[in-house]
Amino acid sequence: MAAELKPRTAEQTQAVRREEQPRYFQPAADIAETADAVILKLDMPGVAKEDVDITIDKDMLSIVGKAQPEEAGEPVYRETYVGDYRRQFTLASDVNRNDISAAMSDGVLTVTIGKAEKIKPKKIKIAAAS
Amino acid sequence: MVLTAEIPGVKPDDLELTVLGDSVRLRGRRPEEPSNGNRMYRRERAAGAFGRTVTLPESIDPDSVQAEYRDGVLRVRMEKAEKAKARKIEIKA
Repeated sequence: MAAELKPRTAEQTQAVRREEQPRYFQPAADIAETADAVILKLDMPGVAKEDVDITIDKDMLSIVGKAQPEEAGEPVYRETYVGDYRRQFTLASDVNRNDISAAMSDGVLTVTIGKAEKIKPKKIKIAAAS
Repeated sequence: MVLTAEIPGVKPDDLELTVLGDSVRLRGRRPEEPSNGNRMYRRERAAGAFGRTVTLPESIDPDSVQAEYRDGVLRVRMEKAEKAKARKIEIKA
């Protein structure tokens, strides 16, 4: 299998609440693989570019998005909640850890992880027979 | 009144907001991302057209509506219509 990212947590986007732990949200993610990279897209509405933390520890890629505090007011109806986003992925061994870039646009985070040189598909030139 | 909607990945030009009386209608479209022949391992982010109408507890003044889209969140600020505001009536002796 090529550079596949395996989500560690279950497939859900609802809030997860634990005892003595602040509430956090699991952002919805798309994972695509191109010829030389794996591209992750995560929906994190309400998170500014400066408030995203991406860390790699061993084979674990952690993405944290800090939400802005909510403005004051009495809620009449509620469907959105404010809380930090968090999601972790296990990196396959065949990705290039030093080649990771990220961009944030309109609440969507795009993380591009380069594949290791050895697994990139290569085109082999066919030499003309003399 | 403030209405907040989470709409990541949509350009403000692709959003349409209309107000009538006590209802707010929001329509828009999130562009579908073609896979370009790439392998997709996971697709959780929905795309396509969406629409929603919200009825507010009170009528609003359509001229007071201000909408701002930032970091994937739309914030609509509206003032209550004059007739929906509570009025204090003086009691004559």
